[in-house]
Amino acid sequence: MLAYLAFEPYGWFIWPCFAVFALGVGGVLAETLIAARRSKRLLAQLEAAKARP
Amino acid sequence: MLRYANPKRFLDLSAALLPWLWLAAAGLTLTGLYQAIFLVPPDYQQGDTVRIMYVHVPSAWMASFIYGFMFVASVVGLVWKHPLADAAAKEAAPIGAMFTAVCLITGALWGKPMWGTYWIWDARLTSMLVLLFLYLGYLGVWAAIEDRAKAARAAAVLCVVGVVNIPIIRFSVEWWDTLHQGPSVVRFEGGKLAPSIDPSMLWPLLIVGLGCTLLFFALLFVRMRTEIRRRRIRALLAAQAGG
Repeated sequence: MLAYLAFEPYGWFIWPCFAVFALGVGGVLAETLIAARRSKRLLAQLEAAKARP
Repeated sequence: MLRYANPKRFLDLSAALLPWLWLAAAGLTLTGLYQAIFLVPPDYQQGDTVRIMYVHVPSAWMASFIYGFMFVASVVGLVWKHPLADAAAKEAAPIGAMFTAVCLITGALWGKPMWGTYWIWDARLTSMLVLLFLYLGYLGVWAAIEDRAKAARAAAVLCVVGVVNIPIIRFSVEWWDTLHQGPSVVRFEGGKLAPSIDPSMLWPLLIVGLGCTLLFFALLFVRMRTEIRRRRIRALLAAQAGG
């Protein structure tokens, strides 16, 4: 299996491509979810503060 | 369509759609990539490097598709001043920039073993690089102009002007002699659109492409929901500051 996945002699070009794709998609995904959570928390705090007399 | 573009309706509809979008996007993308690594046969000319196609080509498709989406949203924003149109274009841009960068990097890594060089200033590669600069310029306009209405207008104008690059990307390999190969997924042959690669290689490519499209909409919906919350936050902070 490892010999197959080495994709000789092109493995050094193939695997970095999959890594770049995973990093790009993973990076945007992480940034999107973190920003969503932050904005949710901040909005909840502000609305709670507004509701207080 | 415009009925669902109302922010309240958009929030309700996107909340219902998002779990299914995430599931379908992850399922399709991972299935297609599994097939690309384990099931697709080596190409008779390119050998195993053909596996790079399964991340490079969907990234290229998404780079152009997202710019086209931003163009439509920008026109709607400019003409009808729709409250969600600017948000849609703005939040699509980082995703498009990411896919464009992935396309350029994976293309360079594919180019070295096939062409003997990572980069050449041929029409397809150069027009893709211009697309990346358009995305970065668009994001730069939003970051540089403080007044959000002015930023939205300036960014939309830039996006509309820049759309001329999309047909250039598409037809560059036909209009000029390029090192980059011509259209090789589907071709016009005898007046008909026909696939030009074997179905065993074509289906995984279409599956990854569909997965990436659904992933784009899932990311976009979450980012637009965040942008709507940010607008509410800005309004609350302005109200607090005002009294």
